[in-house]
Amino acid sequence: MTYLPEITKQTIAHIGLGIRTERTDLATVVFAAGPVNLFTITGGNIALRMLRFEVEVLALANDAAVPRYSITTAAPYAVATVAFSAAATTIALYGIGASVTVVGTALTDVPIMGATIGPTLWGAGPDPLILTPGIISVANGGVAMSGAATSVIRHQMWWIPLDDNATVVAS
Amino acid sequence: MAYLPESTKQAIAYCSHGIRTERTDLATVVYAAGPVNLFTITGGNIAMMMLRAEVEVLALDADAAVPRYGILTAAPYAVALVYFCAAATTIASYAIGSSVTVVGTTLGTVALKQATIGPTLWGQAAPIVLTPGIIQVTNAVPMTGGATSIIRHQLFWYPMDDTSTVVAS
Repeated sequence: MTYLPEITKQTIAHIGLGIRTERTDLATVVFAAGPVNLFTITGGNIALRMLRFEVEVLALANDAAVPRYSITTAAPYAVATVAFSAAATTIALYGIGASVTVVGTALTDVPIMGATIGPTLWGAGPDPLILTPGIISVANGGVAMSGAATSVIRHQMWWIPLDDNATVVAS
Repeated sequence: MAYLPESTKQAIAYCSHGIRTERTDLATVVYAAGPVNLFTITGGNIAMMMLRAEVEVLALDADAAVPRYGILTAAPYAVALVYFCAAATTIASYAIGSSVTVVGTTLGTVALKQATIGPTLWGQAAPIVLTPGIIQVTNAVPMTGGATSIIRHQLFWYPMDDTSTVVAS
């Protein structure tokens, strides 16, 4: 086994899993009623390999938040907000390390809930979702998270550009 | 076909299957009752693409070992040993080349045992996301015979965070 510098490991991961873009937010902000903008896609289509979030810093409050992920398409596409998952079941009291992952086998799949501490299933389906330019957002079914003011949510997405100049940044 | 230097072939494998980290142990050591530490994850999450064990040097003894793999999570996560597979059925008398592979369809899926000599199925259906901690193996029926049997564990993984890494424990 050869020694691999950090940049080499990250490059391998980008090739194997996709390019990783991430953001962290307070749970009360990102899981407000919403929609809350997460990531902006510009320049062309992308293949979304995986979108997940993980709880950090502090367990979530007992609010029955039910996040659902969508894309608001941008011109020249007709501007519309289209969900690519069903609403998750409640993430109330999720502990540090618990996660939710978009499945993507169908646009209405309920995200896979990873309430277990430690190992979690991959969750994302075998095929990626194709997303046009726009803004990935999360809405919360009118059940905004208001407790646990210092809980932090980290969203990560792994993606591959499908066009020249396609790229993703945190919104 | 172009000649590929060894380093290029390994780089291709890392990109395709994941970074490979491995260790070899005496079967009587790694398949003690345990938990026995195998691999330590630090710095962030990883995607475990495959975890498998293969028998080397000498066939296993007739001890009815039933290895089961899990992770002992580390702070800031709640510290707990959480299994990511059910126990394999016995690997008694497994010959050189026989293997056990974590499947990953669910966290309770029985590890895939492959007693066939030669070809073995890939086994792992999907990656498993692992947080920082120590991958461990436990063994409700410790292996005591076959003193020179050797087990090689191989872990194929991708970092999911900056600075995530894995070393043999």
